[in-house]
Amino acid sequence: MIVVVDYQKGNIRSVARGLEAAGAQVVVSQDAEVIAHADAVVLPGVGAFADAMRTMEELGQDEAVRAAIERGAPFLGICLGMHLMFEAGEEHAEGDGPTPGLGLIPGVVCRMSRTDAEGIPYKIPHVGWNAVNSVPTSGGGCAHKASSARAGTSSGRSVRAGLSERLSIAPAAMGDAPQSLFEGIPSGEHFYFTHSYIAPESDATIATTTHSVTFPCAVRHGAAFGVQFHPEKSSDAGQRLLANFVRFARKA
Amino acid sequence: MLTKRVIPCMDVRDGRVVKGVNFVNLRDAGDPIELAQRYDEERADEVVFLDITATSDDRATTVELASRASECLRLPYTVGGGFRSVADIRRMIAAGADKVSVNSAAVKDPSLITQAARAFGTQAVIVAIDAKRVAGARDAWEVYVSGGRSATGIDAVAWAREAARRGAGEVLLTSMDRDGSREGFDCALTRAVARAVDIPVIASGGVGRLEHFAQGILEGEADAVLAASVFHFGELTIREVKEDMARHGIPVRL
Repeated sequence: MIVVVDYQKGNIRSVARGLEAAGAQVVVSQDAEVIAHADAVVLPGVGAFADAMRTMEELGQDEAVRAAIERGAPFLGICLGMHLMFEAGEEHAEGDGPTPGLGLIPGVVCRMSRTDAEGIPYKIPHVGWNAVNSVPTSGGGCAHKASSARAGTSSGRSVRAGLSERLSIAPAAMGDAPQSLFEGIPSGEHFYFTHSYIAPESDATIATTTHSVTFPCAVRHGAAFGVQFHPEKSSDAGQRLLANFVRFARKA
Repeated sequence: MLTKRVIPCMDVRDGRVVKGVNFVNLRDAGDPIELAQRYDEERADEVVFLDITATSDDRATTVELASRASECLRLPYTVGGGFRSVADIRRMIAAGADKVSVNSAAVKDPSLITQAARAFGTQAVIVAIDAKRVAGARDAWEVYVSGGRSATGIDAVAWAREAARRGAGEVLLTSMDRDGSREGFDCALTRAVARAVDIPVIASGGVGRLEHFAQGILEGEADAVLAASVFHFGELTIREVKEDMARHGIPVRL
């Protein structure tokens, strides 16, 4: 049974529908207990980082999701759901410094630059279908200087303090699960994006996309995956990806 | 590289597609969901349902359509038309719409854009602008509201800029001069708006031939192109349009 976390921000049905179409049993729930004990968890995403974290904390969902991931339950964060996997996010942050996230992956989610390295302007939000390019498994690799630098300047020493604790979740063992969420999907396939904020570069990056800058569009931390694009809105390719996740969840 | 989008638009009244659809092999040519699924198969990048329902009582039907669409469609969809308040928009987003497009109500009260962007995110709010060339002026266009019936005296480029500043995620720009003319997009208008704002611009109004789509991108500098009747009547397929755009060197998802 896959639990789709409902944090009252809409866009839940399409995700549930996509997982069900791939043969999964799906429960949409706000309940921390249900989430903590799920076989697999999907955290869909719309809205802003700070609002979403606040709602999740109020409902106890942040701890529930971390508990599920900690015991190795397969996890998929979509769009904002992927952002929340990181240490912190700048979107709609209040007070000083970015809002702490679930803290599985280091780095701060920041606004996408409106210009490329040569100063050429790009339209933001990044809306539409863009190519998703896989990153060799040796890890890291993509030049992501612009946003990393920006994340560095405004980020947060303020979030550093609690981070070591939050990052203590080790990647869960993989077993014989498929190597990739992208099995059967060629590098360069197009997926639907709609966002203004991007994740920082880290060792967790498994695929990148290029708009004004090249940014991580898929990440992996053990059995926890995150994608910046919307598989539930990405036609055949998206359905394939959801089916890969469902198969992975079944084997785990 | 981000591809340029091709977007079929359906006019919907009481939950049914109006203006007729001439597609073969559709069980129900008036069903917006079935038509949208057909467009998905043809590689449309998203779809727009434009609600032309007359009375607010019938809005429930459109909310129901949005809800059914979120269950059935595997591509993004926008619902446009008839939004008067944030509460109206909330109902549609809660039903599952990825985006809403607001027009007259935003002109009347621009803070609606700000409020909606804050509540649902910039990516969910499209500002639709119906613009008509000012007689005698070389490059000036006026905003019209109420389905093109009322002139506002507002400059279209300035309004697009304000909409973007207030948090709109995209502009859906319709040339009233070209709408229904089959002479192609008003590329001067589209370019003026596309250069004035830093958010994506969807060109609409006037498509009659295959090459008009590429013109909207290359000359109009649009990020996406929208059309209705050429697709519904089967004159052109999404695939033909995308192949022609690709021949012109435009990145598309084929």
